[in-house]
Amino acid sequence: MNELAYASIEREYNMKQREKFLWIILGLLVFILGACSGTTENESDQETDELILAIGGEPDNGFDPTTGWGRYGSPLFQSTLFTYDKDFNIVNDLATSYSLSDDGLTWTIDLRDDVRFSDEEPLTAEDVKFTFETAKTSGSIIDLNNLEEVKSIDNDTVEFTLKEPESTFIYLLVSTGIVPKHVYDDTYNENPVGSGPYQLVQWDKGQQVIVEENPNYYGEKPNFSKLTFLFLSEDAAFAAAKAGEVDVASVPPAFANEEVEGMELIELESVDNRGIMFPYVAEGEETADGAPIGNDVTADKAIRKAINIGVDRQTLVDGVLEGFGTPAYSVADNMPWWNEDTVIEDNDPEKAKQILEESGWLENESGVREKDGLPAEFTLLYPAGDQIRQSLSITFAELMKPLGIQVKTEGKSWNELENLMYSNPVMMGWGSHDPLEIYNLYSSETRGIGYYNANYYANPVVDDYLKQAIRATSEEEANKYWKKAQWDGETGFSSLGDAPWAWLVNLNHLYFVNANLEIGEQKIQPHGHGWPITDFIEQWHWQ
Amino acid sequence: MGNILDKEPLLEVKDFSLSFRQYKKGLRETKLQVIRNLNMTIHEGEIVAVVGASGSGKSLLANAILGILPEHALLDGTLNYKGVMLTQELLEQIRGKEISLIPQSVNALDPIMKTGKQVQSVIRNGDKKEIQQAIFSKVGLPIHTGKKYPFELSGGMARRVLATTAMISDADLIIADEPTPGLDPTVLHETIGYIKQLALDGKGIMFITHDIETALKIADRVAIFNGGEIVEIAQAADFTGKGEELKHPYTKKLWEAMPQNEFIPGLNVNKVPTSKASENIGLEVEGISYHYRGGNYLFKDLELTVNPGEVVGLHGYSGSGKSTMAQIIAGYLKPKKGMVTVNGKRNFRSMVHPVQLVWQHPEKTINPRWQMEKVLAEGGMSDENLLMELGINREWLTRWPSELSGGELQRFCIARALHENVKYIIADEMTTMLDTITQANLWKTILRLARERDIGILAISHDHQLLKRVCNRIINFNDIANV
Amino acid sequence: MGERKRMLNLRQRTIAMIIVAILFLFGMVISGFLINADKLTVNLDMKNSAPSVSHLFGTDWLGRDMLARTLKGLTLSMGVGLLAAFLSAGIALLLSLLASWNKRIDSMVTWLIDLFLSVPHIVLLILISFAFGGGFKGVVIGLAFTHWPSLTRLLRAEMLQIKSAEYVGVSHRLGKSRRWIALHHLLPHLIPQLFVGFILLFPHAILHESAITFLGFGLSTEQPAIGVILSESMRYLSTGMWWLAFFPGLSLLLMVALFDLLGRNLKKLIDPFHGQKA
Repeated sequence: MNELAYASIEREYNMKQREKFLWIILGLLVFILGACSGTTENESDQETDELILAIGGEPDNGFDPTTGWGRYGSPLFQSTLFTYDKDFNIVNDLATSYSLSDDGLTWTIDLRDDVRFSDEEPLTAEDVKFTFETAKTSGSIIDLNNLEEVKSIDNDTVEFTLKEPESTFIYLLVSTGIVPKHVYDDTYNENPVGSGPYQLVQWDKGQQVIVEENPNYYGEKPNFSKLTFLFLSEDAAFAAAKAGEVDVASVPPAFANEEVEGMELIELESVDNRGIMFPYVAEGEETADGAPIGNDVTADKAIRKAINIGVDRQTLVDGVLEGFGTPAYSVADNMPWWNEDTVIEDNDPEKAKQILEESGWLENESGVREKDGLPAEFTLLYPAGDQIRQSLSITFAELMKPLGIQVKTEGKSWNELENLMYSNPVMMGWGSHDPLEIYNLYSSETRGIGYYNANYYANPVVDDYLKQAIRATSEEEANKYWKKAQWDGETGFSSLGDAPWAWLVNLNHLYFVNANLEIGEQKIQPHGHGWPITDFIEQWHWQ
Repeated sequence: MGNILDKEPLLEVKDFSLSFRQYKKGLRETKLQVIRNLNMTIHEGEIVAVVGASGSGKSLLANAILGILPEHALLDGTLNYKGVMLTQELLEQIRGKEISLIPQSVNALDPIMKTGKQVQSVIRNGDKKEIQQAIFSKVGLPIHTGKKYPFELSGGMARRVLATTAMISDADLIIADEPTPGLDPTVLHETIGYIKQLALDGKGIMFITHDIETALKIADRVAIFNGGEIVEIAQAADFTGKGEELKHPYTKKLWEAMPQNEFIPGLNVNKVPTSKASENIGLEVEGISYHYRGGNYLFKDLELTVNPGEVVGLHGYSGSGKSTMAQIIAGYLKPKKGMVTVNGKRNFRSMVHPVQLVWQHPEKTINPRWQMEKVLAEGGMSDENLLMELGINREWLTRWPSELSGGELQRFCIARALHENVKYIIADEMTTMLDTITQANLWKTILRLARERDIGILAISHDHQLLKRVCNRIINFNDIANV
Repeated sequence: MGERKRMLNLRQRTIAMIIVAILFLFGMVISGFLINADKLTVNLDMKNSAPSVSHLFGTDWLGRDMLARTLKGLTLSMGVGLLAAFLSAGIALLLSLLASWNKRIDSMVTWLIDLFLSVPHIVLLILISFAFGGGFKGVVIGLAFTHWPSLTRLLRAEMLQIKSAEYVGVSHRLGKSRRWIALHHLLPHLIPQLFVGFILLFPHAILHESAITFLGFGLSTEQPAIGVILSESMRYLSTGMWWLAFFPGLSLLLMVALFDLLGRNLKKLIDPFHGQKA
């Protein structure tokens, strides 16, 4: 035997594996125990005009509204033409008034004339024109294809001309912050200049953003001159909250039951929903990229309806969300365009079984239903690493067992999902302050476009209602058609009708907030990107 | 001499046994006894030679005295040093100080340390450099030797450096483990001289060797070691004439089997009958030269002929390059120049080479993981008669190499070399490591077989006496090496 | 020195250790396979419960039994380790035999070994695993491609030693082909080394698998791997659910230690020199 070689390999195993790894693991375990039993002291911080927030939401593409910044909540650095109040009424912000022509094609908007950007330059109609023209050609998620042209009539009047009437156009005016034409360039997303309540001081990517009050802000002045947004992982944010290092921390439900000294749990309702998108068509087709489309099991309406009726949404809310949420019945619960009639009686396994049996899904000896030799089973996909979606999926699969539907769950990366989502049910999340989302999810026009209508849902009646909603010239009229598209008494995309989705829960957004900090009432929160909690930052104050 | 023996011995070995823990089959733990009930003494100023064939266990005795046995060795009996029992702790204290070793191989020198430094490191007090230079000049090493690295020294010089480390240490007991393998007479004589000088200085010396001849030249007393036992401890002077003074029959036989004595009774090389086979023309070595990369020529334009049925002796001392030559002739190495033709042919790829080499150390030429049957099968040897003639016991065929002695293994090597297509055999120090009795027996058999099959033999050895006994003609390697 | 009285002799103790280690490991695998599916199901009434008699390792946030999850995870880890160690040992054997062919191939193999050893293990592992698309396949390939060098180095050294042995030279002169020699002289000598090396690769592979899975580059979160369990549980540590990480981590440690024990004792058994040592 070669002693030397033996000695060397032994040394290697000894050092590397035995000593190092085992000790590291052991050390880790000890650390874990220590970390759990440790208590943290809570410093009572003095009341300053600075706040530290750990609420996530670092934008990948920076702070440029023309590429999507601010769409899910206050752009903070910029201001918008219109804005929502707490009850989703559209109110003026930069605009002073607007008028819509009778054909629904021309929107004329008057602007305030006293607005200056944080760099002292005045905000004019030219800047508005520039913003929308840039957004239109940016190729981002902002869809301005319907915009024919923008004209600045004079310094404080701007005119939008559409190709076709579009009632949801105003929501673009609500969500798009105005950028200054005179400084806008390729680096704008990292150096935003705007007319919002705050201006950017410093952005350390992956770590923090520091903002300061914009002295030129025309609206109500906020009480805090400086905000620091920390980008921490969920548990780090929680730890920071426990240590009293932050004033506001967003946390997942798992932490929400913990007591944190000096902090109060704020629970905000949201349309940040989670639901399962079912492939709506039978197998056979492929997308242009070669991804398979359709799923024979979920193409059967009986399966989708049985799932919608049989699933116990409250159990999911209590079990997975620790009660911090509400059952979801649509993509836009409690929004003005939501059809309240579509709330169904769920957790009714008997009725679900009845539906299945009536349409020929009969239980076999192993407890799984079958129809013409096709077993009622599918794989439910979720984005790997999203623990709430994973837990929802696993629990959902469990809840489906008594119905005789066999559900396997698998976590996939978004890249993989983009290939698989046309043929497999996926645990998705939506929820916007813009009813256009409804159109995008349910219109046959958007089949196979991005994540929107990936299940290839199509219903001519629904299409018709959606078009009418878009073409409506008033909000009331639009909302009427939005509601009809969900359920008109005979058909619709809600679970009363075709049920292409099974919406399960709306997540409550959870924040630990400094007990002395009053953040006021908030509106229903959208799907979680950005900083919607800062929408009414000017109302925040110390008690 | 008698008066030395009356004094208290420097080293006393009493009822000493050594065995190894061994697992042969399954879970049964067995003990392999390698040394049995050994008793011996070494006095101050005395040289005691321990003579035994390789693998007889004599080196283990040395290791036991130095306390460097492997962990699975089990000891019994006592070792007394200056009247005090040697324990492991005590051994570790005095090893290198009071007991010192002259190792077998010159590789024991640190290759990256200047020799002078190495010797100085042993010196405990006084002007280290001065003492080292004095000792170097005493053994005839040039002054600048101390500034050289071991690789810059010849084998003989390195050996002298090793000897000086033992000489300048204050050790009272020196164990010399086979310090003179195959040395040429001059170097051998010198080395013996130094060792004798050490004894004159009052040190006790245990001289371990396989070579009775050397042992007799140097030792006061000779302990004959065989099969784990000391057969007899005789005065060196008793080895004389026909061995009448020797008490034990084994010792007597050993003495008689020495080439300079009777060797093989009734053997006369030139009278062994030969049978001429026509296709066997001769082994021709035509002008081969060889040197190691960057080294000097070991030999140049070497010419040599071995005729069929002829036994040619090649005499030379260790390190002269004769083994390299043997490997070239047998096809192990390629010469830098020249060629070897066997019966007119030169290329023997993927066939049994007609020239087979029998090496000095049989245990190295047999795969330790093979049973002996497989060793023979590899050489395509199945001639039962041949095996019988070589004295290979049928029962040995299922044994493992480690279960056979060197002499027994060498029989297998010879059997393997005697493939039917083999025309020539090179015996490179074939019996050097064996005891004289086995040596005589092996040569007796191989000579007869060679004659029967008309095989030519090139016998290489440093032992001139042996060559004189077995060869038709003897060539001195230095005469043909041309360097 | 001297003989001490013992209940069992050395080899018996070695074999006893091996049997114990194998039994334990088998126990882990068998129980991993036999684990009742009910144990793994979601049980929201039992969620977040600390270790108790009915749930020795506690339950997670969905009420799944952590003991069952841990055993499943260990089984999976073992599977990954087995496959990776097997492939690695195969690569090592192949390369070391190739190295015996000639000097050029040998220096190429040596260069490869040095190259792979010069890059930190975990980095290379992540790179390879990522390049092969992650998941089970990526991890196994990554482990296989990163764990061969040290074993190859050992085998190559052994092989070179045997190759220069006199009995191999004799074999050549007896007209044996290189293939024959590789098969009859080299391979039988390498096999025991290979086997021990294979066993000792296991703990390495398993730990590395868990490590990169923990870091999120390994098995997908769907797999019930220990690494996944550990990284999931990190999120719950601040809420005081220590058992989510502690028991699975300890079990992983135990399994790795058992494999190590097994490998060492097998080596004692096979290696004639180490074998006799106390």
